[in-house]
Amino acid sequence: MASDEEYSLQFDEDESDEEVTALYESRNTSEFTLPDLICHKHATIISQESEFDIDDDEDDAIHEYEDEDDEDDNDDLLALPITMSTKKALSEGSVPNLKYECLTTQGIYERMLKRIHHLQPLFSIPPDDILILMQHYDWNEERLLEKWTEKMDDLLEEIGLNVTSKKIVDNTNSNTRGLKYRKDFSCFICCDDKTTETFSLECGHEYCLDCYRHYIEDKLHEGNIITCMDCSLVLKNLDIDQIMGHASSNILMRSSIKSFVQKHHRNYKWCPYADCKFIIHLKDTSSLGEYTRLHYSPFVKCNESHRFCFHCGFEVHAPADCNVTNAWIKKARKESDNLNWVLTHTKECPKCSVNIEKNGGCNHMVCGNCKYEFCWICESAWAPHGKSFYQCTMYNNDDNGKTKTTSTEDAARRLKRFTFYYRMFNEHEVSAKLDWKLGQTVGIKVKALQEKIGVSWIEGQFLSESIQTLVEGRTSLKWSFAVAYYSDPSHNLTKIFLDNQILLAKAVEELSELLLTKQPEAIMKKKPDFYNKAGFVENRRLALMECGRDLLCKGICKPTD
Amino acid sequence: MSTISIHIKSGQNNWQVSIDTTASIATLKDEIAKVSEIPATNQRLIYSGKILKDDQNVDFYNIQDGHSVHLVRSGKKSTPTPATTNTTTNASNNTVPSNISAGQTGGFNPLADLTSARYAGYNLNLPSADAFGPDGGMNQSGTNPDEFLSMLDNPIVQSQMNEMLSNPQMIDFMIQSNPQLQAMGPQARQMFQSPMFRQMLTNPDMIRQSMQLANMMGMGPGARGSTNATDNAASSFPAPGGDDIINNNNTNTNTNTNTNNDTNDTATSNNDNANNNASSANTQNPFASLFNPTANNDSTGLAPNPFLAMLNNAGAGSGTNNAGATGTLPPFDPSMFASLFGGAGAPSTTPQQQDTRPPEERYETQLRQLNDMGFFDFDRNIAALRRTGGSVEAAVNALLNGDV
Amino acid sequence: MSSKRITKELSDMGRDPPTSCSAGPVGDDLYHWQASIMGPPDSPYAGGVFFLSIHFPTDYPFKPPKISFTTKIYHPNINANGNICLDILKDQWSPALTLSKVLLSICSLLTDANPDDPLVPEIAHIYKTDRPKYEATAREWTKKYAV
Repeated sequence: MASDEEYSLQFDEDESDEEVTALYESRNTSEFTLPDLICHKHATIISQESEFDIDDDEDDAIHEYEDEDDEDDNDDLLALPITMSTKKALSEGSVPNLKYECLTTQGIYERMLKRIHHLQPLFSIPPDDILILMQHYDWNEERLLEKWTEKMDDLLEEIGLNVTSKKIVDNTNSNTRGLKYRKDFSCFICCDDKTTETFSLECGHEYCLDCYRHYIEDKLHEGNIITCMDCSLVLKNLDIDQIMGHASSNILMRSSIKSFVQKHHRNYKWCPYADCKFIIHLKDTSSLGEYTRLHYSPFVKCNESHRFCFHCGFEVHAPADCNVTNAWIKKARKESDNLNWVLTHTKECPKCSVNIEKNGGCNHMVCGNCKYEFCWICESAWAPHGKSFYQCTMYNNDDNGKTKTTSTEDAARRLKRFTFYYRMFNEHEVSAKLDWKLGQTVGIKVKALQEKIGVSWIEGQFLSESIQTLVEGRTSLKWSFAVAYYSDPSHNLTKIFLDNQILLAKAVEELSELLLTKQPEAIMKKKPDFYNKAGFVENRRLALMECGRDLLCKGICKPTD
Repeated sequence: MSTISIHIKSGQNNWQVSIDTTASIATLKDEIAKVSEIPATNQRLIYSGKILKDDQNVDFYNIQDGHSVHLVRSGKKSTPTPATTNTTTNASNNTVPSNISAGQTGGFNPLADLTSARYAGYNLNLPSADAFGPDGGMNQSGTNPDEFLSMLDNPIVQSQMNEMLSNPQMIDFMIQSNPQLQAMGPQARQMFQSPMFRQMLTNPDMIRQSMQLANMMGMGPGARGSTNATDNAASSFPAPGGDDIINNNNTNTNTNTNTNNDTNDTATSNNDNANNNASSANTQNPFASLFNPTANNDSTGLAPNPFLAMLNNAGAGSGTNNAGATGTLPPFDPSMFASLFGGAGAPSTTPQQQDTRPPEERYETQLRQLNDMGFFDFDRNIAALRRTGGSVEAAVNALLNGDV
Repeated sequence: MSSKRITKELSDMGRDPPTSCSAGPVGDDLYHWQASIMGPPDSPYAGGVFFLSIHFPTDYPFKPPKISFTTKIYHPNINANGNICLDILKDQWSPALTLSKVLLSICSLLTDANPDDPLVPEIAHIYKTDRPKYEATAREWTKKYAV
């Protein structure tokens, strides 16, 4: 409590670019000699952010996070020095590190294949058969082994891997597994008499290839074991590929793994981002309760750099916790379906009333018509924003001076308050999206840097890192409004939180503006600026997050209705 | 014209008979009786999922040489043939599920029980939605207004009416089945739930008043003759008649939904009651006396009359506006009731004398036309045709409006 | 191709129908059939004849036919709309099954209901707790609707 204030005060005093730059420099010099201690601290912080990089080994989708220390490189180091000073005291001894991995269905499948390879000596049956057994038991190794030791041969028969004599149709021609070419074959399924290729298993139930294909096609997406149409004998992957003429069994395996993921949703979560194919696997969910208790959120990051909360499946919503997030989203949905659209679209220039569409990240607007400079968010002149503290994140009571408590607020007032915070939330959401778009043009800028000034790829990376920081900063800023909405406005900590919010908003806007720089030369020249501002944003962001968590832990922020 | 040999299967028994394809099923049954020693009257023959009817020929069912026909012994005495039944609506019930209703899909349909019971050959004179269209007998059957009024006085009937109207599902069903009521939206439900309205439907005095009112308004006897229930004020009036209808329907519905609990005695007695009422009536227009201007001169003593208010609201035009009496009721068009209850039908007791063929035969050509037009739902087609008396055009309208 | 298969099943059905079932097209439409099942002698449905409506999907036999009772029946796995809860009519369907096999399965469902996977929980409850009452009611319904 006191430390927070202290910290905040201290920051106000110390808030200077030199300080941050110094930090960065220290990072630069000690990059490869950072003691294990820092790595360890880093890891605790990472438990919040779950930093992880992808690029170096795309082909191997399965990463064990235990190996983190070996794999980490400069990507993570950017965050290190910024966090070390302020985060040390706050996060020590807080929550256990989240150990998770990022997988794909293919990755899980390959891992299963590996397991099967390990298990093979135990079973002394072909790996293909073990695969079927695994599929039957929902890829649950323990259950399979248990059953296997109980009743080996019965199991094989039950699942349809072994043929018993009674099942065999008396048909000497077709009691072999595989394709056959038959003249004047009468297929029982389609009742056509034709000269065709047929397929049958050892059971002798022989059908024409067309019917078999139709049958398998329908079943592939169910992910269940496919059997002979007339008995329980199993079609193995090899058979399926043989019938279909291409590797259709992959589709089946993928469907099966998908249902496996669905069934184990406590440990496995699909990345919620659209079209993202990654699955996060959290081995030990026991620590999740601890996260909730301390108002942390178990954020994870997939290999596409999509970060989301493992608990509620939303995007990274710090400083809000899952409860605040859910309450906020529910409320927003309830009250502001239309508000949403009214607010996100164009605004009129406060001076000349020309309609302005915001298509860039920065909220410092210059009207194309009258050159009036204003803040997109509060629609007042920009000038005060630049100099003093960024004031437009403050909700000003209409009747300043007259202090009113929340209890006396009437419904209209509450709605107005919500509208204000929702608007802020929404503004930053839109801005974050635009920033994301901006980030996509960064690649082009980096390329330009390489071509025009001959900067190495690694040196140009600071740009994309800055974008990343910016987006994260905006997201935190955005969610901080949800926290602010549910917080007791009269409490001192809330005021500190709002101050922190203002600081972050300022930092974010500055970085956003910097990123609009177009000329490659200017960008290179401003490189230290990028580091400074990005570091500042990160710093402020973490401070805000801690401050917000404090509000939650102390019960000052309580999600209502 | 050829002779085929048919296997008759009955449980473990298997007989073989030869029969001429032009022979009737009755003849076939006699043949079977010879070999199986099961009397023809106790035989039920099933082929291709259908029960074979005595009056059809073997080739009608397209029975092939060497094919098998199932025989089920029925312990029951065989029902009289259509020729001898004059008092049974569904003469061919016991032998033929003439139009198996396939799609009682979902929803609450109080008539479903009736229909399925009928299709299954249960020998109760149950009215169904289909049975009482213009071809079904409502226009031909008669109901004596006095008897109908005295029936309304019957406390059982009244309580059943009330029970029905307090069942939200029943109201839903009534609203669902009537586009006009549907169009009224929530008001319709409100109206049904209003105690005023209920009383209106259950209070014999009220009905009596409305009859008198009708007389007062001078509706001629001919007015009722119109088959189009909505095209004039006179025919849009039979709301009181509707009461009769729902009363009876209600009686049946209630008891039949209760058949789970196996006491059907009251149902039967009520049915009998209704049937007796109806069958004792002559074939003249049941409402003739209602609309006879000479029968009434008591217009001054009218108590607040909801029907009058309705008529006023509907613009039927009468000087006496008692709308205040029905203040809680939303305005509505009485013709709704005509179509609502007219659709549901009254218990038909006068059989179709002239045509006892099952509807799918009677309307064979019309059905084909409907099929050609793209209406493939057999049951609905039949229902529509029965309702419209075989007019394809009207049936199409009914189908499109979703009335059936 | 489905019509060929259905035609074949129709002719098989006519030539050699199962002991207690019979089925055929309602009209000219090959895809809409009706069927009748005679109540199994060792069940409370004995003596009754139950009618069913059958719709074949166009991709029959790769998809199961839609079958429902049109005669009311008191059974834990058959509801008031005549819908039948039977695995082979749903996920356990196989193209190698025929209508005749399905009808026989329904017959055996009449003999041995599956109260653990009920469609009408109330009936299933009675079936499990008070079998004589269930049988009496089923017999009553059979007498009422199916005789």
